[in-house]
Formats: sequence, C-alpha cells, structure tokens
Amino acid sequence: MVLEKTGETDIESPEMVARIRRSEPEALGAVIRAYLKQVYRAARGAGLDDAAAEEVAQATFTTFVESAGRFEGRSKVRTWVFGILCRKLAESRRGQQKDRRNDPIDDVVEGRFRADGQWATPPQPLDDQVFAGEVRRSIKVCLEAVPGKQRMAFILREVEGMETPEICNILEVTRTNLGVLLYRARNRLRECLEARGVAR
Amino acid sequence: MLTCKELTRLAASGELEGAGWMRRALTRLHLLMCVHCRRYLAQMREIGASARQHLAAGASELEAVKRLEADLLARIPGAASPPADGGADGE
Repeated sequence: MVLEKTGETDIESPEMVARIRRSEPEALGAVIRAYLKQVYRAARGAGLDDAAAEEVAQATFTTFVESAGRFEGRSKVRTWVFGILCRKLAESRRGQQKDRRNDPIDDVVEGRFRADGQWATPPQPLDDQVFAGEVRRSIKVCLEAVPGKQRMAFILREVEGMETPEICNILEVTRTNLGVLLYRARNRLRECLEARGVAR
Repeated sequence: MLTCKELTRLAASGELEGAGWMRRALTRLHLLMCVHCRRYLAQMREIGASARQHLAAGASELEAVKRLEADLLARIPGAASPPADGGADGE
C-alpha cells in the first residue's frame, strides 16, 4: 500500500479529517506532503538556520503523527500543524527576549508624530527604487531584530498569506493582540530598512 | 478625518484591510492629500512583497524538504516502504 499524493484542498475535507483522527497512514502522509514545505519555510522565516529548521519541522510532524488521534477537527488541519510549530518555536525561545506590554518600537513610532496626530518626522523621502533596493538587501538582516512572536505574526500574514482568524488560532492571541504584533513587526522593519537606506 | 497617526496604525496593524466603507473612503481622501502617508503605505507594501519573494525556499532548501519528507513518511506507523525510485516527482 503506497502513500498517494492528495491535493491540498482534500486535506481539510470532513472525510480526510476523519481519516486523520483514525491515524490512517495515507492520511497522515498526505498532511506531511501538503504542509511540510510551508512549515519548513516558516521555520526559516522565524530565523532558524537550515539544520534547526529541519529539526523543528521534523519535531512538528512527529508530534502531529503521535497526536493525530486527539485532533478534534474544530480548526483546520493546517492551523493545528502550524500551532504545533509555533509552540515548539516558543519553547526554544523561552528565556530569550519576550514580547512585552511596552515595546521600545512603540515609543519610536510615537515620537514621529505631533500631538495632533500629524507627522513630526515623516518617512525619509528616499527614492522608491532606493528603498526597494534596500529592502531586497536588508530584509533578512532587519528581520533578525524582530522578536519571536511579532516575527511569526508577520511571516504567517505576509509570507504564508494566512487570514486573521487562523493566525489568531495558531499564535493563541486575540485579534487586537495580533494587530499589535503586526504593527510592531512592520514598524520595526520599516525603521530598520529606512535607517540602512539613509546611511548608504 | 483621519490623522496620519491613526492611518498608519490602521495600516501597520492590518485593520485597514477589514475596514468598513467609511473608513476606507476617509483613508483614500487622506492619502490624496498626504504624501508622507502615501510613502509610508508604499513602503509597507514593498516590505510585504519583498518578504514573500525573499523568504520563499531556494533550491537547496527544496532538497532538504524532499529528504525530510521521505524520512517523515517512512516513520509513519503502518506506512509501507516507498517505491525503489523514491517516488520522486516535481513539486
């Protein structure tokens, strides 16, 4: 009995979910085929090198296979798999820089506006091409400085193209929290990229 | 009227995407008049586009994914061994 490839849309069907819950090998294999590349990409996007990304991707799907019988099917399979990934990433980050209620980036952004809400220090009038060039050169470097959960929120939204409800499920945050995470991540990136562009 | 600070917060947090027609109309009006906010939004879009382009897996990463996939599939309890050719097919 050879594992057959299944289209991604089939994975989320009620029939496939039932087969996953019964830990049928073909169903579990189909999930791995469908989502491994995305999970690996997200792990790299989170800042892990090749080896570490492989390790966490393997750990994610090992956990998925072991716990398939406990999947209740209330969320999408993809949501559940990415939830496992994010918990593993958070575990490895424990003890490192944590997302805080008050984040320095908030003060930096706040400082760019006057009391009436107009720009005091607007974005530098860099030529669009200059800025785009800097983004290409420096986005990976600037991403390094974005704290874990903010970075994952940005990756899941911008690279994986996930919608708000799914990201909130995966990261276990409210819509409001997610807005704050994205606000901080995007502004951190913009400030970093502008500084590098201006410095050239 | 939206202030620049309000608009940039809506844009960066993602709230603008799900905004109602009134808010979107006020946003368009503000952007017509404010070069700074236009620049800010354009930079946000550039950052998103670059992230998608540059964080996608390269060739060496795809090789790693293939190896990992084969390994994971082989470890599924009850799964048969893959065919001798490794079942290789294009992504």
